Amino acid sequence: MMPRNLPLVLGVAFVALVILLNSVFIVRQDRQAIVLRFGAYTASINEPGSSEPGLYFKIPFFDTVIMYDKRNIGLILEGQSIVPSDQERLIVDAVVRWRITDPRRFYQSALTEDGGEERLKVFTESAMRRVLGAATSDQIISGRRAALMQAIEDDLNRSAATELGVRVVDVRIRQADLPSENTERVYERMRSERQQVAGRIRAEGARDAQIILATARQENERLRGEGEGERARIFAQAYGRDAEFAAFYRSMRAYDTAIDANTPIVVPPDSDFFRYMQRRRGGN
Amino acid sequence: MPWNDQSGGNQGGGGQGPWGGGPRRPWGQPPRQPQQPQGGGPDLEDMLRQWRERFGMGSGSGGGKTGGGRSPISWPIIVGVIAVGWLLTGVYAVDEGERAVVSRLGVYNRTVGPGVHVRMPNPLEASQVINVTGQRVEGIGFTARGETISDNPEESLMITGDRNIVEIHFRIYYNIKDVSDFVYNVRDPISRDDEPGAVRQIAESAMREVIGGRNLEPIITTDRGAVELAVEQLMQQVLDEYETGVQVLQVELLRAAAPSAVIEAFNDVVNARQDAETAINNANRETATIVNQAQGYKEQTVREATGEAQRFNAVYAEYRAAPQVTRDRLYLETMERVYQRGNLIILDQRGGAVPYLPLDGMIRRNATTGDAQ
Repeated sequence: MMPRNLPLVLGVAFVALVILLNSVFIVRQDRQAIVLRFGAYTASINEPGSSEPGLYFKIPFFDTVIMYDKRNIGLILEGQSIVPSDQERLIVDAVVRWRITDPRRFYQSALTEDGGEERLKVFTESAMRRVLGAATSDQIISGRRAALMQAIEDDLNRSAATELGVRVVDVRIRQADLPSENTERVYERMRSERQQVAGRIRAEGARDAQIILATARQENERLRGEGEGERARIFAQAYGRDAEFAAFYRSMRAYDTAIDANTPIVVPPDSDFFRYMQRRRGGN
Repeated sequence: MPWNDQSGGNQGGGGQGPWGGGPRRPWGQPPRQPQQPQGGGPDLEDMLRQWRERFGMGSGSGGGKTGGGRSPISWPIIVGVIAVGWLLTGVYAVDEGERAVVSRLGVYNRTVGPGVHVRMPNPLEASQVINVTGQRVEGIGFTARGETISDNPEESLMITGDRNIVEIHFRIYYNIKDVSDFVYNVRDPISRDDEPGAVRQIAESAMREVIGGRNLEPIITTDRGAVELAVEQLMQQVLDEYETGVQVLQVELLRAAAPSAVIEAFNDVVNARQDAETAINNANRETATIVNQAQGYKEQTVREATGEAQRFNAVYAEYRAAPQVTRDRLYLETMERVYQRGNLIILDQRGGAVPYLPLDGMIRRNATTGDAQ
């Protein structure tokens, strides 16, 4: 190489490098690209369905490459006010997972990913209104949540997919809550419910206690009665052997216990007690 | 974003960018070097001569030494150092518990395990090292700063199947089971700063779906384990559907309770249970007293009666042996005791008229003395 030509060589090399750099591009595994020649679509690379990432050539300065994400992208819709069929307003947050499946179509209708998200947001809002508006709030909160999410997804894939060149992979309702003005009412109801439960439990406790006591009193009477019955039987058996003597004997015992100290007793001298006293007197 | 990307400005190994960095340097630097000694006037001839010398030397064995003391480092050495430096960009280490995904010209090529590895230098191949075995955690419903945990009402309050509101704090433990899925399939698998990632979004959604299908009472009492399991399964199902490469290890329900606005009413139910139990305990205690007393009474009554009967039987036996004598004796003994105790007044009616008997006064006197005793 002749030294004289060196600046020229360097210049040519530099220009060649710039041209080379402008004629190659890399499409990564997780990206997809469309190539435009003076703004007109010529090719898509690595769009879903065809896995062809890698190094590509283009005509320098003529061709423009537009890159999009190929991955699953999340779009969060916060605080959507939904009126279900039972007119009970709900605040619904949802996450839409989507990916660009037709980059050409996406470029035509949305240009950028941000633009695409904006469009998809509008689509999703109306799909949610359509699907959730036909359901009841009970179904949204619990019963058919999964089915409703699927319905929104299907709805979106019918409309948004073709128009935007995207596919909605999943729609998930993150929150479905009552608006704050209703929340206080829910709390009020929860409180009253709890108070009701507490009252019932206390009343049940009192009732059970009362039953327990009543049972105890019943048992008390029964036992006492048993005892008294047994006593009657025992006495009947004993005294029954000689009713006349038993009456005498019991009378004696009754006098003994019934008459206490200083009870005035008027006794005629001719009573049995004084029988001998009189006989003696009479004998005089 | 896409507009920037077409110029190849995205991170790590993508686009044409790196071509402008590394390889251009050996070409870009030489023109500058000779300009330094040149000083003022543009002496083209001199410059060219120096160039010639240097290039001439480069093919020789001596290196740049004869080129004068001005430049101790020769051109080929610079190229060599830069080349080695460039090649060294292909050396990387993967720690235990980590995996690296290597892409060649942007295309996934291989996943490698722990150790020191060599790949093609920078723009040709790129590596991304990711910890896969390390447990990652996502806390939802609360913010923990050190020891203090503050509730995050927007996340924690959930509506239950029976239209109540419950406060839920929970954690998701997860790791990565497939690095290439993790790197290539989802844009935002994990949360960054305030942007919730896919794992978090799915966790929140799954928990709300599970809570929405159950009633409040079981959630805060018996069904905690079932809730954890259901959320774990639902999450894993969705994560797999997205091919996130994420494995849920555990769902930990830290708090499942009535919201603070109604907690008092809930606590009162607990108090009511205690109250009811107390009432029942008291009743049981009284029952024990009453029943034992009654048993005592019964036993006492029976025993007394038995005793009395035995006494009667004993006396009766005597009576049978000698009826009249026993009878008289019993009568007299009894009367003896009775009259001893009582205030005996013997009234003889034989004397004709009944004498005045001040019974009232006697009784009154006896009563007062009786009281005094």
